[in-house]
Amino acid sequence: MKKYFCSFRMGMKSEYEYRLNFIFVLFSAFFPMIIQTFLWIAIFENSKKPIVYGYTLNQMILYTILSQMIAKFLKTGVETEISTDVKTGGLSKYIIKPFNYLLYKLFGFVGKKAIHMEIILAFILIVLVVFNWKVQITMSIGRGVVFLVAVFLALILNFYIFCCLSMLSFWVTDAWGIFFGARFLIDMMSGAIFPIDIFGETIIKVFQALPFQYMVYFTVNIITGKISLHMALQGIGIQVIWILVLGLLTRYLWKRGLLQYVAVGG
Amino acid sequence: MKELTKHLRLMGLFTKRYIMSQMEYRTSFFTILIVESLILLSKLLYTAVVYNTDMVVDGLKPEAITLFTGTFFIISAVYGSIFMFNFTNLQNSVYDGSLDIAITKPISLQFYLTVSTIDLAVPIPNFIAGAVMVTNAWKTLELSMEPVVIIGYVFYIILGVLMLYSILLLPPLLSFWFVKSEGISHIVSGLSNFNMMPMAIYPKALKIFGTFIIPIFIVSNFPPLFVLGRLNVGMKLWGILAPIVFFLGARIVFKKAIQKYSSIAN
Amino acid sequence: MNAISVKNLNKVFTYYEKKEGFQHSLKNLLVRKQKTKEAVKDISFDIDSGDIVGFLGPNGAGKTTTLKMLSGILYPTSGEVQVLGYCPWKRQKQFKMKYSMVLGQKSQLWPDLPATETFRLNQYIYEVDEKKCKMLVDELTEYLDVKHLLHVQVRRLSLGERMKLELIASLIHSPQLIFLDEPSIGLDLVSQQKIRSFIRYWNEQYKTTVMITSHYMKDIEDLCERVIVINSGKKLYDGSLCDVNYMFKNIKIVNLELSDEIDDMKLAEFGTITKKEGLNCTMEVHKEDLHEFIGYVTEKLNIKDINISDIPVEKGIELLYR
Repeated sequence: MKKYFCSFRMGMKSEYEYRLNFIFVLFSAFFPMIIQTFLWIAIFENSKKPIVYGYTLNQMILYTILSQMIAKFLKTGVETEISTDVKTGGLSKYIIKPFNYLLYKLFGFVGKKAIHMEIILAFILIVLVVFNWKVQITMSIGRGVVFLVAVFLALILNFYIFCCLSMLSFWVTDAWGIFFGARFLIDMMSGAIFPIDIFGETIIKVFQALPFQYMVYFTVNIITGKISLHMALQGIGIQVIWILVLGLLTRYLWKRGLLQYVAVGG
Repeated sequence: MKELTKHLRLMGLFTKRYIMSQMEYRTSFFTILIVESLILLSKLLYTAVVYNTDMVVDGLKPEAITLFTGTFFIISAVYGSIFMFNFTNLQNSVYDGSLDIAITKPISLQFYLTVSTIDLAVPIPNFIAGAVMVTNAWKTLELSMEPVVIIGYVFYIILGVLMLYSILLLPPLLSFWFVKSEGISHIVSGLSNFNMMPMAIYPKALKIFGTFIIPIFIVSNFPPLFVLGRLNVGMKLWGILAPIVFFLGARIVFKKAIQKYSSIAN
Repeated sequence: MNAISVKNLNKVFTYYEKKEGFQHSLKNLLVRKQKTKEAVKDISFDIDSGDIVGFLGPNGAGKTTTLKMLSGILYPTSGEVQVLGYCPWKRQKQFKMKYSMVLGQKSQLWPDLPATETFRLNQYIYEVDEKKCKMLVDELTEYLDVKHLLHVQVRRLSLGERMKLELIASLIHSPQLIFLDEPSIGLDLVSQQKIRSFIRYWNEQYKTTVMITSHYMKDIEDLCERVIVINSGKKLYDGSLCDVNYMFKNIKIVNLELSDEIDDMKLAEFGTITKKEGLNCTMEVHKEDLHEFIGYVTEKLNIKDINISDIPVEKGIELLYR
């Protein structure tokens, strides 16, 4: 266990140096936020209805801001890291050691995100305070705690989704295109670009059967108050189930992949 | 005239070079094509929302709004095919010595460094989507088919490309003075996304900023505004003047950057 | 006429100490420690049209920096330079049309494409007409024996083949002057030989001025009558290659073949021993001590053979580098 904690600390340390970079990354989320915010203002003004896609204007703006931030926070680069390890043979130096490579990566990733956590929480707090002052939103300590748990689970879920995807690099020579494309698709399906309510009913049904919406859409809506506390707890259960399913799938693919890796001689 | 044919022949050669090397790496062409299509898809969500909510802003119906979005896609396509990869390579050319060789050639250095790497996979999805949206808007809005209007539209598109070129060239040039400019590049290219929507949806301060200070709206808001007859004489002139001024500015900064390189490099 | 004339050329680099990490970068924006390095110090020389001149010096001596200033890539800190009658760093088009630069470390050929495509690129850039270009390429490929490689992708070629095509690409516009920066680096002996003979041939045929840097002594011996040696940015020697050892005319090389073992200390009294293998011994002896030394050797020692010679060129250059 100690070695994984060491990986956690290493992830934290290396990211600490570059924490200002993360602020830059957050800045890049700033423009889509502005564009969408004014888009929604125009839409609400025009429609004359107080509720569009099931959101009030304030809820929608809050969703727009928080979803962009959460999406940037969840972002991982683990698929390229693992893929490079597989491609350049860097994996060899890990698999001869008596430890679990995937767990090692997970702890490193969480350590890295621990640094981002404080920044993102500060941002979210500012946003909420400003919103609370301007308009009333249904906020309670209970919701806050559930939200934090959901964000943490979303982080691990996101890790396993991309980890699972990165197993492709055992079989596909140039997987970067797949990773890059997948990132956009997953963003779309997780509600990072727009809330998934904008899609038609059929598509929403499909999305509900997939794990992606439990990363951004579900998490942010705990705060916007669009879902009840009861539903939120249920959602957390689903998050856990998806983490288990994807974790096991990744493990299975990893074992198959390693056989392949050893067979071709790394 | 002789110089023009020389440069056109070189452009032809660069295109030939791209096509020939793509024959070699066919997969990369399709990968980029798919990735670009997915990025495009995520941008098309904005249009979907506009149509879905039947949004009207400043008298612009959804079809008119797609005229703006489509124009933005067309200009992005031109930028992506001719300039994008050159701009990202600019910083590298200092380190790998290709800048040294380029300096010794009897040809415009800026031309050589900013157009020599052409790509035809990036623009295809953008151009198709843009062209479809613009023609559709033109038909449904029953816009004038007079040559003056069409030529004017194309003219403002060319100016828009010039504007985008001048704005986006600045961040990579900054790397001659500062070590890293990726963060700035990211932010500036995010700015151009404001053009996905007609500038009418933005508040006044943003409109003024985007028209006069960093004239990002000239890139792809002006061509449709011209077609819709919404540019007054002053704006028409500014739409011509600003790209020229900014291009000359970019040219001066380019020369300064090379000068900087020549006096400090070893 | 002088192809190149350089007067009191200086180049000082200023650079900043940089540490890794964002914090340090930020700190560097505010206060930066500026450091200077004199890469080229007060160098002057002239090169006649049609000459091949070797430009020698150990790594980091300032050769490439000087070449970059002569070709207009870098600005000098001070000094006057005229190349083909132009001031290089004004980068006039007419000037660029007349010279060529080959960097052994950096290829200008497009790696994914056959070399002909780069030839075409240069043909367009240098505005060479089709017919002339074709004739020239025919002649050059014939001479270098690379005709069959013209349609092979560059990255599939060997280093030697690549360099030959590199040379052709840089000669398409028949330049009056060529800067060659380590053209033979990393090549095998046969390729080196081929490239040398080609440079010689080209120089004789077209009276092109050539300035060449190389770490292979054979390149220089074969090609250059004149060499300029620099070290730490300063010019140390400028003259004919065979006269390099004239600077060391006071030192003689003595080869001894002994028949008995002898104490090194005894010999070291007369000069420095540079090599000793069993009974074979090579030493450097000062001219003034030579008489005494030979007396000692012939009288006191039992020798099988003795051979006295001047310092060889290669050795002379090496001594200059120190």
